[in-house]
Amino acid sequence: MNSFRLALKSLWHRRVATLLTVLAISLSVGLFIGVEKTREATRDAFSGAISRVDLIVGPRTGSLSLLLYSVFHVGAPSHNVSMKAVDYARSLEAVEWVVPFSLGDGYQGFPVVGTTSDFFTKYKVRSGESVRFSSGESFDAPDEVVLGSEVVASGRLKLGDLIVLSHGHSEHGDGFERHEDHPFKVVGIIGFTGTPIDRSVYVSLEGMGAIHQEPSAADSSSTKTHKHEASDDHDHDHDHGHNHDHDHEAHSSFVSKDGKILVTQVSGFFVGAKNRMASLELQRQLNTWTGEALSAILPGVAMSELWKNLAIFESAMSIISGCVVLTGVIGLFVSLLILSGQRRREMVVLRAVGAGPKTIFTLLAGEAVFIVLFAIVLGMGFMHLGLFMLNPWIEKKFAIHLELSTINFYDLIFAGILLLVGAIVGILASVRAYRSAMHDGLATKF
Amino acid sequence: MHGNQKNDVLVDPEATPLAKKLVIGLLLTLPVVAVIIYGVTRGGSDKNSGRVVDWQMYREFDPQTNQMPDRLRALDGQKIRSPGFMVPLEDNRARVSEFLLVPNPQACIHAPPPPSNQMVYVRMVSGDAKTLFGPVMVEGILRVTSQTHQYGTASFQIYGENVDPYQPD
Repeated sequence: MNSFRLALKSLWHRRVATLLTVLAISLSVGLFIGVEKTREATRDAFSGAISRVDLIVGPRTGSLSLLLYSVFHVGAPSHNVSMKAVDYARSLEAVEWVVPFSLGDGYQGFPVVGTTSDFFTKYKVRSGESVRFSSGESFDAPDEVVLGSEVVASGRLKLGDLIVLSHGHSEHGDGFERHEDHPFKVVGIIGFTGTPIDRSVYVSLEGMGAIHQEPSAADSSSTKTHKHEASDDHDHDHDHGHNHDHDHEAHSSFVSKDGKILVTQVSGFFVGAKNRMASLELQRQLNTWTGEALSAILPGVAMSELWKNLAIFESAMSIISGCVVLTGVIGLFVSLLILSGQRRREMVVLRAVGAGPKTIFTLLAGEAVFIVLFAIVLGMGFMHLGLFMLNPWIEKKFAIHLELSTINFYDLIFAGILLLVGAIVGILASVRAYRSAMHDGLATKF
Repeated sequence: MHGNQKNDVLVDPEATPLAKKLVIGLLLTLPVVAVIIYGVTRGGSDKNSGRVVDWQMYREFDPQTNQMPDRLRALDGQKIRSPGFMVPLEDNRARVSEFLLVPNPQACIHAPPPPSNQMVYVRMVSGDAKTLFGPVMVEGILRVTSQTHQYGTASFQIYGENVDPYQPD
């Protein structure tokens, strides 16, 4: 009987203990991969949120707050930017495109973004990935709306449905003032992106204007009262601009004399430069423009600042990973040691029938390495299979995209450490098995 | 099976030192392997290759007259190293694929941005670089183009291979 078959038979004899050991190790391998993947995915959800945009421009504010409200819809702008600033940016020679955006309204807890249909072609995610429609197309008319995938999933909406937006937006619900008289028709649904786009509702700037919400109106509260009066007094046809008296000037700025909806203010705008080299120069030009107090930021720079601030979260995840590695290694050590302890009598018997040190060593160390290897393959296999099957659900539930990239560098390092520990335990065990006196094992003690 | 099995009852004089050596050997290899892996991921051992092109040299190019000195032109397509600060353009999980290399950190809002001969456009060709906030040393292939119009091609581009924290020699 050769030693390999001997090892297999011996393993089979202790199958329950072996199986439990394998399960425990594969669990820690799986857990490690899971934690690492989650960390990657959350990073991805953040850093993939904006790409191929050279500048974000808003009213004068800090770079982080501008990044947070323009890209992540966290927090709110304190001022608006006039359309004049947008036109100024468009007039600059180095600018290739400008996409304005307008924030402030909500739909069932999701932020409503007023923008132009250029947004869907110019704004990219995840290092240049395009925003694509899973069905339908971009809005064309002021009463059309495009939804992110999560919005669609939460409301079981489909193309052609009518939805009503509300004034004001918070994560926990919307204002009671709803724009019932301005329902929007769903004309497009954006495919999953793993970014804040999934949780957003997109309408045209004119649509935003049509529902009488200049978000976070730069004009004071007095105009707000006018707006409310207006909603009571007037029927909300798009041509209602005619009947406005002088008091409602501010409010009617959306509507020109001929009944067309005008937009005079936006929350900010995205800028694409003809050449990225010009970004710094453009930033300077916009920041120092005397027409209005603007803040222009480079998304890449603001993003890395954000990372610096999120370092605590990152290290917390690292600590968890480290603990998983530590418990995995200790668990492996203990269970292998106990497993080989069980074989003391077996080894003694083998020695009695003439097995040399080489045979004992091969049997014990080989078994340990084999168990670890098997557990690693099992753990990785199960984790990847599990992620693969759970991914659609995770995407829907948590809006993060777990990339099923192949086994990465850290996974291999962890696997290597486990194998090494397995080998060390195997060697230790064989030393112990060889050192123990034979009569100790052969004597029938129970 | 074997001829000399009579020693088996006692502790084998050979087995213990051998196994001990193995354990010690493995423990010793661990840090060595770690160091090797670290070195490989940091981008190989061929650091300090390529001559250093500093901001003084870049300044010799006159963006007004498009006069590119021969000294810089000769470096086109060569592997060089340049010190500077990163201005990330494309962020990817706290790593950058494209950035501008400038001579000073860009926190100062009092001064205009550096002119085009004091800015190098870096595109990473061998994997993204970790975003670093301190001074860095970029290693890569330099491309020099003299025909620049205001918003046209960059005068200086580096196809970046390595970005390391700057260490004064």
